[in-house]
Amino acid sequence: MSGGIHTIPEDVLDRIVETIAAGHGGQGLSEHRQYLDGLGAADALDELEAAAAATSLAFGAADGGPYDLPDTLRQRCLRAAVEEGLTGGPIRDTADQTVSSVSAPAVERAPLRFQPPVDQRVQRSPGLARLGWLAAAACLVIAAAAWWPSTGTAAGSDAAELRQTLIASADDLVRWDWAAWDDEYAGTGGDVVWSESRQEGYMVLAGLPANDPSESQYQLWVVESSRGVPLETEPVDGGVFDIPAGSTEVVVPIRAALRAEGVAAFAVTREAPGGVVVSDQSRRVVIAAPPAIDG
Amino acid sequence: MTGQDDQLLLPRVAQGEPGSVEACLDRFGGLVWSLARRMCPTRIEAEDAVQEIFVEVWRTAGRYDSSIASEATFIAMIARRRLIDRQRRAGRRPSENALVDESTPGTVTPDRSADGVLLDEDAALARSAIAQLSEEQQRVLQLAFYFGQSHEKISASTGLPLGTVKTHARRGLIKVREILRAERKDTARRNGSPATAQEGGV
Repeated sequence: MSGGIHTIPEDVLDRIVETIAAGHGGQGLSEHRQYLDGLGAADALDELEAAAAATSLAFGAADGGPYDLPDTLRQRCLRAAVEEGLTGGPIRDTADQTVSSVSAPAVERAPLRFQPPVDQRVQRSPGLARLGWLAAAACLVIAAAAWWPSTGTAAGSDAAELRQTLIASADDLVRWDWAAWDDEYAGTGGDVVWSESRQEGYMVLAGLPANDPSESQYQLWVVESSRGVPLETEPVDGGVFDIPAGSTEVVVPIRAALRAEGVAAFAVTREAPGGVVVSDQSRRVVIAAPPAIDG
Repeated sequence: MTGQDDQLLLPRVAQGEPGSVEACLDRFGGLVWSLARRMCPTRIEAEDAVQEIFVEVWRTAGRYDSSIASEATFIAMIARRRLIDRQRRAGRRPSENALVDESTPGTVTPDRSADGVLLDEDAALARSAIAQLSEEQQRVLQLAFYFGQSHEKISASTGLPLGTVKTHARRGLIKVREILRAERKDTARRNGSPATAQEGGV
């Protein structure tokens, strides 16, 4: 029935293996499939790709268990299934409410609850993860005023000009000073300006150590609140940024991945290149928050 | 392949059986979410990827063949293609820098599962196969199939000759395939089903 994988020349196998490694399985293997059909070894393609997937799982790529699918994302997927006509009947979300006639993907905006990996849940006391973001923001008022006397401009920077324009024109502008979130960054100053109505803001960061983007990047987080009370949700990802070597002060535009409402604080962490989905807050940098959230 | 075909979800999804889509999300949602978290730079991208992956899984559920792979492996295969493709489209090279955390394993040992998590049967078999390889071979497999790196990049980052990288990747993957295939044959024999596998190793 099968000519066997041993009938495939090594150079062809090498190309197949690399094609699979590069994620070009399925259609990407079609040219090889025709050739292998002639050898009676076409089954090997599917088996090799399955072996690659199993290998990936074995290396821990799918440590499924620590990370439960968030409810909001589960519902979003169910709605997609309905919209694509992929269900055999009405489906139910986690609240056991029929969602088979959804017209708007409202759940997309819903923030995810902070779900640290299992090892963190075990090692950290309940609520500590939340306190990491919120208590730091609440306590900030004590130290904030002293850190940065005034901010200058980022010479030659478009961002600096846009920041000045925002300051001059936004009716709902907030301007908070950065405070060190860890002693390592005690020498960091600057501020953040933000307009919720425009969803526009800029960070001025002075004295922040330069980073090597191939090793780590700074990542901004936006902590939201409801009526001044910080939400117990994961902060919104504000994107990653770099501090070039030799710079003393930079102006960084804020580009939140989601619309940020009722911002309670901005926080910066240092993460692996590209940033992370959920920060373990092991490398805290600076944080900025208004006095109003104290207490 | 487990002899428990009545418990398979994907054929039920393919037939449009009510409740099967939800069950699929419940059983494999964590797996896909974990993969996406590791391979996407932001939460938003990870969420988009998960939705995209599951829609494809459901659309292609009818193609699932339990004689080739477990359902988890089939879904991981689709997820892997999609996630690497998303990285490519975004102009990012697949690399080990993407959301790698301290749980990323180095050398694989047969009795150590990733993060202490119970592995899918195929993944456990793959792990046992990988554990039989040298550390150098394991590293090449990890870079190639976990991080999706090209042979050239692996050669550059490890200092191994390109030919050695190709050989390690080829032999390692074939080793994993052999073990999965042998298990499938045994299972088919136990279940009295005609085995699809007839060939030997390489």
